[in-house]
Amino acid sequence: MQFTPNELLLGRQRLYMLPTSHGIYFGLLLLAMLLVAVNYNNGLAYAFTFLLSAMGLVSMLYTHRNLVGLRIIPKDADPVFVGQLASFPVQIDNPSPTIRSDIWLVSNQCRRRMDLGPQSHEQVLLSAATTRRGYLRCPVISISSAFPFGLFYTWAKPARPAYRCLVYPKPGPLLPWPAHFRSGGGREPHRGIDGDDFAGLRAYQSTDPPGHVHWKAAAHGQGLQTKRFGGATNATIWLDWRATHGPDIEDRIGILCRWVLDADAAGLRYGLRMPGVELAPERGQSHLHQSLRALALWRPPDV
Amino acid sequence: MFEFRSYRPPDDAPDRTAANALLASTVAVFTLHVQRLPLWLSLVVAMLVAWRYLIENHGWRTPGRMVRWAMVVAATVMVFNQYHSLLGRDAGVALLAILIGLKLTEMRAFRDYVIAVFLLYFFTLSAFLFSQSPITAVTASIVTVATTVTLVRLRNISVLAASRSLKMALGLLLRALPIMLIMYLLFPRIQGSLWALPHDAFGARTGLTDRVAPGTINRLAEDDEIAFRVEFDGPPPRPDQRYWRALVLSATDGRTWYRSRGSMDGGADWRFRSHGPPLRYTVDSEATGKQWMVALDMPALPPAGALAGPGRTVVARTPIQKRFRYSMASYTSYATEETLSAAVRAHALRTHGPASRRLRGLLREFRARPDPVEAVLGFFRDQDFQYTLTPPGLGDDPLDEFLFESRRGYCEHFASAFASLMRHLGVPARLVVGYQGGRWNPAGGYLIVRRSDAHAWSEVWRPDRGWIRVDPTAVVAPERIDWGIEALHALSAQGVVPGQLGSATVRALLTRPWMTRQWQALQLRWDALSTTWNRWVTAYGPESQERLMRRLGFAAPSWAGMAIGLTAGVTAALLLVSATLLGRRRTRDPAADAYSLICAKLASTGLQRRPHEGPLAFSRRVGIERPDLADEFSQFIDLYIRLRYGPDASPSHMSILQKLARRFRAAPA
Repeated sequence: MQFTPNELLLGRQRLYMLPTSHGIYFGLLLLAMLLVAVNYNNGLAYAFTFLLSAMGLVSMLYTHRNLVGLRIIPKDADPVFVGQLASFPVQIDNPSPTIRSDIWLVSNQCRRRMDLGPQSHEQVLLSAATTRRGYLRCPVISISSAFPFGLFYTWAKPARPAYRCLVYPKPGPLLPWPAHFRSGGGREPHRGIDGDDFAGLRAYQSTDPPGHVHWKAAAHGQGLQTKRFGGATNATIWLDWRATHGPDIEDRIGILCRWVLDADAAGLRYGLRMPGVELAPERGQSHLHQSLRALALWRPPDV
Repeated sequence: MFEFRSYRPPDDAPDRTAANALLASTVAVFTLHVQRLPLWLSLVVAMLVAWRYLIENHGWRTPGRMVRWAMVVAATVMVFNQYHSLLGRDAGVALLAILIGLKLTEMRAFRDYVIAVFLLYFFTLSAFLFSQSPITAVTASIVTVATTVTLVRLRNISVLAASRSLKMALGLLLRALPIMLIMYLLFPRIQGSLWALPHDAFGARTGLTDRVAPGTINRLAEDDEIAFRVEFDGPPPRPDQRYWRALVLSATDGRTWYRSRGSMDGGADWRFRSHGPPLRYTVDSEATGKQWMVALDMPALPPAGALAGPGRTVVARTPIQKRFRYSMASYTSYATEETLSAAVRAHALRTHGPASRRLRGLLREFRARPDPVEAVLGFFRDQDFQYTLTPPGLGDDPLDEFLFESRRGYCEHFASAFASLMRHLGVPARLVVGYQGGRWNPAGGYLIVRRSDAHAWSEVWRPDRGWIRVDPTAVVAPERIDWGIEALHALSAQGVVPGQLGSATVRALLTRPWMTRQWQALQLRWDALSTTWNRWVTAYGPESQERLMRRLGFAAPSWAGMAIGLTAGVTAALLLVSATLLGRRRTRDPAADAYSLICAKLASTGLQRRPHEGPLAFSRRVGIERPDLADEFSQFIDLYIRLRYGPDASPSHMSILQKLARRFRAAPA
């Protein structure tokens, strides 16, 4: 199965069908019934056996109809950090006037059930584990159904949509600021916890240092929020690859990632300098993402 | 990658409503069986159903493993106690009932529920081993719908309301019907069983026997069970010609008449010296458990598949254990061409013991007359012999007691007395047992013959005519032959002695009140219905299948041919059903309708939407080629896209869209 640029239509050629284990038991039941009918020469027993057999056959058509004509429309997933679950939104579209129920979107990591009314659509999140930074491709997905009896199940030829999730590096442990940095104001900025002006609250992210969590609000049941500090607005900091040490590249990227997050949380202007990459000091959400993206995709230049 | 098994949707455990639906269909299926199951068994199952109900709805606890095993053992012991066996039809059904009840108490996973539904299906099937009547079939159909609804609901409780699952199950079953019909008609049937059936397979049967003593046939006089039905190719024979021959008995011990060893009852010579036009007919016989078959006097040839029995009777190859149809021809007027061997002649003249003194006197009187047959029939007619439904018992010398003392008898009394007298007079004679008469069913165009129509008559050998039928009953009680046994019951209820009234008086006496006649007509209609039913359900076997195939134009139906026909038929029906199910339906989306309307209007001006062109591309082209329409059209397209693909479509938007499409006027460019 191949995805057209943005969607997949479930045609007849894409659908496969097999009996479930219950379907096989059902076949054995029919066989036993037939033996009774033959042995007792019983007309109604024949009729009943054949009625159930025909019902089984017709239920295959129902099973097939339950999937045919559906459209699968996947999308890119929002970026996450390594270790978090990537959630690919997948929209299933039912353009037909019939109800489609008991439909399962299946990937190798999870299954999601949905029921679709006539001419309606539903979006489910397909989660996938992340183990390394960079792009994570949408997992191989398929869609299946055992409607109406669970005697047969049909599934679409599995496909891998060309959608992906950007996975940021895992932030390293808290470390002091890089020893070697240049700042516009000449003053070494604090880590932005005390001494600087409180600049507001934003929703907690799992990478936020625990010290920044607004615990009082949390205690009042307002959810986890992180305090932002805007005190060192003029401070500029260069986060430099050369300031990190260690044998492992990923650890060093993790440290940089931590610094980026901290610098952002502290409201600093920060720049990122790595072999082959240099981002001018800036601040704000898009700069944060740009920096994290650069870290996620960074490859050591060939020596 | 991962294998196909992993695409299988998981089976979630069904919820409470599914369990309740299953309990309801269990109760429904048990209605098919409850009248036959022992009371304690029904109570046990009802208790188990109630237990599950309490588990589901009132938080009772599921029984533990030990309790369940104890219940299984106890139930098995009780079933064994009841039936003295765990095998066979009755004990098997009882065990199945217990099994279903126990399954109900322990169901947890989806799989348990499915097994319970399968058991219910099998339980439904087992009801047909007891009854195959149309009523059973109708009840079973309703029950099957209920069970199937349950099966649907096991998976789809959350989305499908009860009415929707009913609609769904009904739709499925209706679509299955044509396929079932093809399978039913074309699946090759076999004669006989695959393996020995349990002794109780067909239940007990009574009816005509091959040993006739005074009182044997009389016992059947009240038996209303239908013995067989007959359809005639032409008009039916007159009542006095409706003699249905089943057995010829020529051995006697003075009281009982029975079949002789070897060919002493008459050889297998079926030649005729002369005969009238043949009468062709089809007999639809109920199961008898016996080998003999009935044939109208006198059968021309045994039907296909049957054998020639002694004395021009017809016998089946195996005992008739199920309803059975066969076609044959008979001559109602005939003279047989056969030779009587010395041994058979001696056998047909054998009398039991010497005649008593008074009998010798009587025989002397008969010998003085020219024709012994006429002499004896005249004796029965003129003396005070009485045909009665309640004859007195006879002692050690039944012939003497009947002729000189009781003089009251049923057909077998007269027929056996007549045959014995003939033998004493030197005329070879034998007893024929079968049925006489039958009731014509105008609603179905066939004759119904019941067990109460059982009859015995005699045959005597005439050198010039062979064996000819003589029925002394016709002389003593002509009403029995002309009006049938039912009339005799009616007359004796009114205290009338048969054979003493004119036929006009009898007719007047037999005219029933209007209500009774209507009721009888209704009964005949029902019988006609059940006859059609029997032909296609109970009696549908290899022969009927072959007849059907011939009628459909297959000259020599074979198993291979039928297998091909079956496969082709089922495939064709399945394709047809899939066309009704999967066929493209007109979209019901009003937005799409409005879009095709507006596109058609533009096409009429020469601006055709190209097949690959989406709405936006088309709108751009309209903007370039027809700037005068651009505003109006792009407004429509914006709304259209929003309605079809946007998240916030409201009914008011839809009506605006439709209005735009209707109002759109495109002057030719």
